[in-house]
Amino acid sequence: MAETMELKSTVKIDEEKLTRIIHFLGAILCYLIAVALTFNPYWQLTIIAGILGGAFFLQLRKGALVGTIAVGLAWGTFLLIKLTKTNVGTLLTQMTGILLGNEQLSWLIILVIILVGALLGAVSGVIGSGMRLLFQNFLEKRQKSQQHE
Amino acid sequence: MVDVITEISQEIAYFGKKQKKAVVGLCIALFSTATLITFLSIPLGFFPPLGDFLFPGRGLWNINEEVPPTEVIHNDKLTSDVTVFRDEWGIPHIFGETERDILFALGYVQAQDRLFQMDLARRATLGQLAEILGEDLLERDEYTLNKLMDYWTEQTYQAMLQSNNPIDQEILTLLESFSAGINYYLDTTKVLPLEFQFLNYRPSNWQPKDTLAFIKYMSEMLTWSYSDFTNILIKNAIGSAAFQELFGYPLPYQIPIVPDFGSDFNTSLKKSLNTGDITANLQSVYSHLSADVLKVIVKNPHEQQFLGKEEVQGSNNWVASGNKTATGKPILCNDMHLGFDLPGIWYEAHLIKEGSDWNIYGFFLAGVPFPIVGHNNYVAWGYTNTAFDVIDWYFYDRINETHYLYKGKPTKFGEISYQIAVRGQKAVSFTIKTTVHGPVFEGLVSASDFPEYEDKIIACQWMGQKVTNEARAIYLFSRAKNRQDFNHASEFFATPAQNMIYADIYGNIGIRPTGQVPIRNDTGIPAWHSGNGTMLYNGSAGQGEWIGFLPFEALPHSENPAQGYLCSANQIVAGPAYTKNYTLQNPTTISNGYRARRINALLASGENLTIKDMQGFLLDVYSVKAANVAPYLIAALEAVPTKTALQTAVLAELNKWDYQMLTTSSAATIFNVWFERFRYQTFQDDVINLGGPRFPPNTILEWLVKNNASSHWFDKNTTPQVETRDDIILLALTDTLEALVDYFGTEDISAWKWGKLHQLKIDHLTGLSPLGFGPIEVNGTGETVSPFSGYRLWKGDGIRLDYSDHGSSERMIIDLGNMNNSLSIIPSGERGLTNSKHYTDLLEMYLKGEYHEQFFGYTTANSFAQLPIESIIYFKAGGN
Repeated sequence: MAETMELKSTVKIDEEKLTRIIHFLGAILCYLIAVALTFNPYWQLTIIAGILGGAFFLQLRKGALVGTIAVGLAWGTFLLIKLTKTNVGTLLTQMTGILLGNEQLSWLIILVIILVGALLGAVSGVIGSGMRLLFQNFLEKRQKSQQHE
Repeated sequence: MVDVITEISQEIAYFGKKQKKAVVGLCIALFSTATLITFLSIPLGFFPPLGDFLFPGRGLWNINEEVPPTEVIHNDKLTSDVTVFRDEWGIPHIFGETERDILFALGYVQAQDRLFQMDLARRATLGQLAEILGEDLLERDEYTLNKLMDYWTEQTYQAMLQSNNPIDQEILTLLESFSAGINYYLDTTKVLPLEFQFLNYRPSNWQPKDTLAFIKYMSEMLTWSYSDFTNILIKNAIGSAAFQELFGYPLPYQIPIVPDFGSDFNTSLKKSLNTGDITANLQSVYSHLSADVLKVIVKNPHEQQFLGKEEVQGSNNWVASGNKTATGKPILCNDMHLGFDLPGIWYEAHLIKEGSDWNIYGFFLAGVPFPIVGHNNYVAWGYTNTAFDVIDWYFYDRINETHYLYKGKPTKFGEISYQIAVRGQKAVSFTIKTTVHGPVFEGLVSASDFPEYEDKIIACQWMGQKVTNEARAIYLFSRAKNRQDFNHASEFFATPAQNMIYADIYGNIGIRPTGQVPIRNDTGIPAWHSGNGTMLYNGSAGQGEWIGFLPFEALPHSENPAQGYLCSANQIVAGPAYTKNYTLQNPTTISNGYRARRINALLASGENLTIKDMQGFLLDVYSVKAANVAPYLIAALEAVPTKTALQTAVLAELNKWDYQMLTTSSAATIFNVWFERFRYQTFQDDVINLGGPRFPPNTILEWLVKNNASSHWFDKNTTPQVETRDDIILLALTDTLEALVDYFGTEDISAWKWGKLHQLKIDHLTGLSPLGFGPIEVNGTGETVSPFSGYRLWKGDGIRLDYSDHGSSERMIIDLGNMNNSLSIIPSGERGLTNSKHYTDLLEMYLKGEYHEQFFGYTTANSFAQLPIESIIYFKAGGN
């Protein structure tokens, strides 16, 4: 009996570990997909990354968190690459002058872009985890009803 | 469907708390996502969709900063291969076998570098701005269409299509090839420049007609004018005799462009004129309508630039013959003065047909495949504006909506209709009425102040409203091999009339003002009317009809003059022995001649001139005005018995001044502000306060200072005592010193540097200041050889910093002894992409007084490949 309890406990610990690994991989996958999507012309598709990332989590808060971090980080990575490898910083400065009337506020535009990316990641992460939750619920119910039958 | 929804609803009804929370969260997230994406994907008023413009993957982040280092382009429109090398400044050097293929490549590279400028220029000329900028630009489009620039561009194009002249057919073929190059770029480029992204539109394909529109664009820029109205108001204000004295011939100190007709204009006439006649018998309809029209124009943001210009859109060109140069061959220089923009108006390019003598380096308008100025293996040429009067305004009695009175008979209006596309709304119908002379401008007579003239309408007749053959001229210039070829080509240059300076490798030099100049029939005009197209005509009475054009051979010209040099700077065309000066030029639009005096002095005294000397001449900022007038200021100040410390310091500064308008000079600041006040104190009461809209030329004031110290013009109408020249000089100086102390906050005149008041600011074509350049301190004034103009130092009660926006739009020095020594520069960069290193690189060199090589001697692709190269394009004949 004690052995069985011990085994169950070990399995549970391993399950938790496995879940954590899956969550981590989900976050990494979300980030990588988000980075890949920054190089396509339809920025709206970034929600795919968020939804996929969120789907690794059964809690909406965690889905939102992973979407926020991964997409925000991915957009930040994109901006970093562009700003260091090209002369787009000049354009950004010029655009800041036009949009905000002060060319010194380029950092604000960068911050806003990353925040909007994070926001898109958050809401799409919620969509991902919400869908996963409902889908899992549906599966569980189905499984129960099959067992019942 | 209903069953499914019912099933889901039932399912949700049985959800636990956690699941219900998930559904609510999901719904909120879906709604938020949809809202966010929608909000960021739609345009917000003037701004493009923010997501498309700012977010990763597109918009801002994908815009090319430079062209690719190497491109290979296959196109079945090409008959042979073409190679384009862009040099270290991004200037294309195009090597090919046929001109058509070379111009295809030129179209492609111009589009890569200047697409937005090209599109904007054609839209501005053809009245299509509202299509991209919305309703705010509708009025401007209507006014532009009203000038009939689109209509006459189309007529010119149709005339070329129907022309039997093989040159016209060849030009059309070349224009087709050039357009194909532009359109290939449009078809293949995925990411358009910033301006298109920002305005969120894609330009339509380029047509040969778009290129022909540039003739009208330049004509408008250089010849459109409202001086017919201002002249009437001045004459009405000050009287005929005073008008003749202050604004009429003879103009003092003019050195004619063509030196073969004498130069003594007998300016002593100025002394003998009656100065008290201020009761001109002007018929009120002329002056009232003029006042009405000007009231409307002054409120029109685009048109006010053509109103009351006190400085001609100037330029310099000169040539020194082999007798004056170190090489024994001519050196030709040209700098055309225009408004500054980014990107600049000129696009430098070098076209070479390998294995032939067809080798051209020139300054092109982006959108035009032929150089406007430049040189080939044999000849070099440059322009300045002639300021010929080629626009006349008429008023008529309107009988009803369909007819007006012309020579006593009801005459039907012609009609031209347009549908103007407007961004964000339905196209707007616009109909232009025309008279026998030209288009009616319905909005110009508001009759608010003069309701009795409600039935009057205004129309104009303008050289830009004709079918003309300038395309033939510029095509032939680039092929000219000698003076005869060049003269033949010049005959076709109708508008905008230009002083064409010329030199060839055989040692010949020449100058020829060209252009079609109308001859008017002034029979029946009122006695007070100056005639010759200088004032508003009564069109209903048949006044001022154009009865022909001055024959080409009747225009004055000079070749290989004994003086060994030729120059033009928008001054009077020919000396007193030439009888048609008044036919050619309205005296109020001739340049005051300060630049011409300086250039003539430099060339007359120059010996063994070199390219280096010419570089210095183009940058010269010695003020002839100051050299002639400042001694009188100094003398008046010296005569003040008890001077303040400030006056003493000013006197010392002026005494040691060499009349160079340098940014570091305090004397330049004092003199320039003082002269503006001196002119004000002399003429404000006599001209402006009486209703005259502009001051007399500065040379008139110089003449009065030097020849008539007790002229009644110096006497102020507002005081009981009689003032003389020196009283006004000191009064103006008092104003000046008070204002300068106030502006700089110190009596330490060493702080009053000219550069603090004289600065250049260049706007981007859109007017968006973050895309512009400056401000930066610059030497010179509007009247020095190297000019910066377009500003006023005084506004209201004091001094203000008003940026210069006008000056040399290019500088070119051609060594006819060895064309490979030739130099040039533009105040811009070759590339219009705002984040390119070639956006302002040449401008920065220009501001330092530097020039770049043209690499004219590299006539094969193989030899050019050894030079520092930015990028290469290989155009391959045939498709993929």
